[in-house]
Amino acid sequence: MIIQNKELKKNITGYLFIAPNLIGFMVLTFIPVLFSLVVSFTEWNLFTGTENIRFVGLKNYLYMFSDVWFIDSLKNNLMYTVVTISLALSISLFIAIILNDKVYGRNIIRAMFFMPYISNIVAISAIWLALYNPNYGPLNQFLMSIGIDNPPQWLASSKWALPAIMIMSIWGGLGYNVVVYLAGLKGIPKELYEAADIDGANSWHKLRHVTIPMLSPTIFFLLITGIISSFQVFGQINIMTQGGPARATTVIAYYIYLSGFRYYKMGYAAAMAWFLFIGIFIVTLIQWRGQKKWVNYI
Amino acid sequence: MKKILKWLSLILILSVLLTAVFACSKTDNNTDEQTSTQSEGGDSGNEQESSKKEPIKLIVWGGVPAENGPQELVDAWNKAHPDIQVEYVRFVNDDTGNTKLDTALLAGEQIDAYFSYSVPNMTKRIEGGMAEDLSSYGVDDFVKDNIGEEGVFKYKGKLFSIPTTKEPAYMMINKSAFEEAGIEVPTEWTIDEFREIAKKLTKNVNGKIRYGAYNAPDVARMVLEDNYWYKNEGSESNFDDPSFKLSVQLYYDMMYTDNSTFPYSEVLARKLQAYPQDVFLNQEVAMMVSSPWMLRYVNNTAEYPHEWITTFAPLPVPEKGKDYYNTGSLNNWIMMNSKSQYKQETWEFMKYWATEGAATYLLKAGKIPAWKNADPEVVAKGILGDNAEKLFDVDAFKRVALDPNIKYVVDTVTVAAPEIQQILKEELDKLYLKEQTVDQYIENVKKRADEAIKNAAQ
Repeated sequence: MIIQNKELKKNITGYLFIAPNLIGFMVLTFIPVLFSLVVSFTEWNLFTGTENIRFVGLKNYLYMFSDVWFIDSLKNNLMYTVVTISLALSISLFIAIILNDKVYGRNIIRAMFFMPYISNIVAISAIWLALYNPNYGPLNQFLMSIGIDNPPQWLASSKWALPAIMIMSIWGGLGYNVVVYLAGLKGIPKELYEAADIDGANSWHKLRHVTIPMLSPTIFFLLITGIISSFQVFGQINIMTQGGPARATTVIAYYIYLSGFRYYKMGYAAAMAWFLFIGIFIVTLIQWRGQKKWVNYI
Repeated sequence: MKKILKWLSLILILSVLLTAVFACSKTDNNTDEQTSTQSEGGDSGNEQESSKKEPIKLIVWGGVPAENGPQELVDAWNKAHPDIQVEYVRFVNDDTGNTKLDTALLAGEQIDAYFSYSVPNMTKRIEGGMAEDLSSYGVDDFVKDNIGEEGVFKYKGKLFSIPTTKEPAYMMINKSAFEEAGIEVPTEWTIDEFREIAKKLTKNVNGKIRYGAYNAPDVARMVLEDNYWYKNEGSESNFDDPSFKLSVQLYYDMMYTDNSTFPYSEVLARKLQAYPQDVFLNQEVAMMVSSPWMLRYVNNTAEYPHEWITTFAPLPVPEKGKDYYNTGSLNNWIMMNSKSQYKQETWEFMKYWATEGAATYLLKAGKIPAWKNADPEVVAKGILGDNAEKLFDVDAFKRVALDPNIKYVVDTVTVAAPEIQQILKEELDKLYLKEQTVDQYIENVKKRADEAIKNAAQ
């Protein structure tokens, strides 16, 4: 009895200690998320209050697949994710490996790569907006000066708008990836390279059979977090293109925002948010399963 | 000792939690009170009388920068009405700014009155329940007496808004460009003449092309009656009407055959859709279909220093001597938030803005008041500013912009209007970027608009 009482007291003290955070999480995150699940089965205009909520069953979920905006948003988003993640991960690995060697002014270069990551996305977008100007932007001026007569119209072209945004996003994310990679590289024991040298491995072999396997937990981490955040891309789209020209750069997070706050369709927006959540969840689950095949924890 | 410490920490945590909970419940009470006064609606006047010492605070959202007149208007009102203090908040009247207003309305922020600048936006807000039906405040008589009935937008026969300005469309012209080319500024011209002149005015100035025109007039709007998007009271879209094709073909041909209009890619890249004044004032174009609100930028010589005179011509028409609609409209509709706690006071303020307020203080924002009693001389003087003779052709302005014979259309059918507006925007993007042909454009717009109408009817 006395022991039980002690246990109980201990538990209560423990709960009280996490209570401030737990209550905050419950009130500000968990309950709203649950509420959004309920809303996703309704038609609801936020303005008219909860009394005017109307249940419509699965209608919102079914409508998604006949909605050109949603379909294009999904397509664009998938394209964005595949291209930016694969390019960003490989380019930053390359940069990290170079920086890991004794390079002159390494700290400055590392800081330079990290700059965009800590800069405000609004400021970055505004600058790239000017860079991408089809006629007078520095980028196209440069392309024309090296003999390309019809440089891409970038944001003013359905074909090039999404690639333009991808390029900017890759550049913006490099610094973070590089820093995480560098930390991973530091953790690889020197002995492994020495052993490889003795076995007569060249640098490609060392990269392929030592560096990448030893770095696989880092790559896995960057892959998962990168994919999740790439499905939430919003800032650059909202500032640079608003989903245009036509529907060339619309992405899911942007369309959710439009539906909820421009067309007042809270139910539909919530349904798309849940679709996005389930989609990311499945993708992450698959990766989690797949990691057994290629990620090495020492 | 240890035990005491433990208890102390427990008490501390509990008290923190309690205050947090208490604070939450307190705000809940507040909102309850608010909703209860809301449900009382017009009767809430009694309650306010008892608390007379506390002035009521109204918040009004509009698209005109505060320093261009609204602040003075509000200051004048506040001085005359110490018990009703108004605060003006500016939102930028583009897509993002309008969404900001919508979000604030949705979130229940205090906004008592707000402005809408397009029929689709207005419709959306009315249908979303964000606008008060003004019938019970005597709006019908007010509008009839002070503004007139022509061109006044009604939603299903009811007034949810008061138009406060007239925004006629006309051609705004850089006079020196015409003089250089030896062309006289027309007082009447056809579309074909406009096209020829635009070609002649396009030339290379200091290594940069100065285009003849920024854009082309919307022929369909000039030719067709009210509700030009729809057939049969809104059961079908009207985009297969030949005038729509004429409209886009004109702009398209001028852009890609004549190379005489400003490139659309540049419009997108520089986000000029809502505020294109830079292009005209930096002499990147010689003329622009425009409305008086833009004159506040012409007047702003600190930000846009220029030496030449801005003059005006009526819009070019398909055939001379015939009557056409102006593509502008009555505009700047002030609306009341249906959740305002101070409806009667808001209504009083709306009336003031729509009459003397706008006619006195908003002229320098380039707003021609919709108020019947506004004196055209005062209006011209107010809009063109102190430097009028140096910057403008005053006579041309009076003749073109203050023409009492301007006819406006007013759309009464609004089925799926926000959706159709979005469809037009997308398809026009593709057309003017040369990613589809004019025929494909017409076909797509017609098909998609019909679908949107069908969905809205369900």
